[in-house]
Amino acid sequence: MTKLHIHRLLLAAGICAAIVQFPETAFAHVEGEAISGFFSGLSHPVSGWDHILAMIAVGLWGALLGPPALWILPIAFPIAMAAGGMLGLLGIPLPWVEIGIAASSIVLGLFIVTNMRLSLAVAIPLVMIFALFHGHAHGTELSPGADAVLYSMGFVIATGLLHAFGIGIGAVDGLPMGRTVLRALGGGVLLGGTYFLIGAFA
Amino acid sequence: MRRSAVGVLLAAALCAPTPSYAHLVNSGLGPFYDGALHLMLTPMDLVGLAALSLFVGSQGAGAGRLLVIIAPLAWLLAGAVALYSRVDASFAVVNAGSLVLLGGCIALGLKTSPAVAAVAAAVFGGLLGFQSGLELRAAGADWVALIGTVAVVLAVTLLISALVVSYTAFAFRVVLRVLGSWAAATGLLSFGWIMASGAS
Repeated sequence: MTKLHIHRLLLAAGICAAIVQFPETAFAHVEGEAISGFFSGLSHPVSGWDHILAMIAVGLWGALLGPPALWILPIAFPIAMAAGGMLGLLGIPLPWVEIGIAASSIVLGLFIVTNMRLSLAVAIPLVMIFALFHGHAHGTELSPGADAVLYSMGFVIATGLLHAFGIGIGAVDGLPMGRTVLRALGGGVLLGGTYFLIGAFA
Repeated sequence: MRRSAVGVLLAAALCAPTPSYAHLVNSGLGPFYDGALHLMLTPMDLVGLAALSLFVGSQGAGAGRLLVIIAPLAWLLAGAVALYSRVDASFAVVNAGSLVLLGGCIALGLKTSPAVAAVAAAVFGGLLGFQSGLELRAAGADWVALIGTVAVVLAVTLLISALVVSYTAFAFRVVLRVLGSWAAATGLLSFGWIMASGAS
């Protein structure tokens, strides 16, 4: 072994020794409970396709309806959903929750397929009723122990982002074949809702 | 050889940890900055303050100017009362309710006079300040920490209300109302959560 090899070996040993000092799991500046609260909340609305489909469908339908429904529906939905979540947390029962969730996908999917243009006075209460079912289902499933505010923030932000995703997809409406694409997507939501409805009765 | 020796010495030095207090968990930042950081690390207080600033800021420049003066003062007074009181209760439910009210007002695009906005700044600033004062007292903090908190209250209200006052585009107003609905929803869920967990 030459002198150069010894130098390199020692240098490598020194670097390795330095590397092993780096801790793997630091979470140095955050409270574990708080961070789990936010990310748990963020991941909850995307934990089931029945919820994902309906929330994206709200954005899609809003995009088809255009302003002001485009932004009023995503304002109304989180508030009603949180109200449903509150009822679920407080243990106040709501009948036919699973059926209501499945029905939301079926109805919204149908509206997208048929380009149904309801007035705001009908569309807002309808979407809020659907949101109430989704929120109640989430509320009864919420895991105790996490930070309430951070969890709620994550939960609401994820819901809003799903609506925004739906609105973003709805932007293809102006493109050639865009309406056909949207109808196909609406058909997918409708089929998904039907599947969940069958599951609710099974 | 010299380089290798330096490398080994460096590794040896890294292998010999001593208490560094690098993140000031033990030593703290001093009472003023501890108070300032307390607000930044308390989501309910911070979100409530942000909602208050968004609501009052959306009422125009006059209301925004009143907010920057009234909210920190109300926070200071209510915080001082809580800090030196013997109240042994949490006002988290009240703050969650405040968030629902303020978020709801923003989501609805409610317009009020500067006088009503000023009253809102005083009431909600006072409620948030009282809860903050109770939290500071529980943490063993003193009036210097409260001053630190109030300094951040001033900065947050100033920045958010200035932002809301200066952007008048329709798209920004829509974003504002969406944020309001998110704040109201967060308040509703928190309210249910706190009630369900038995806190008062």
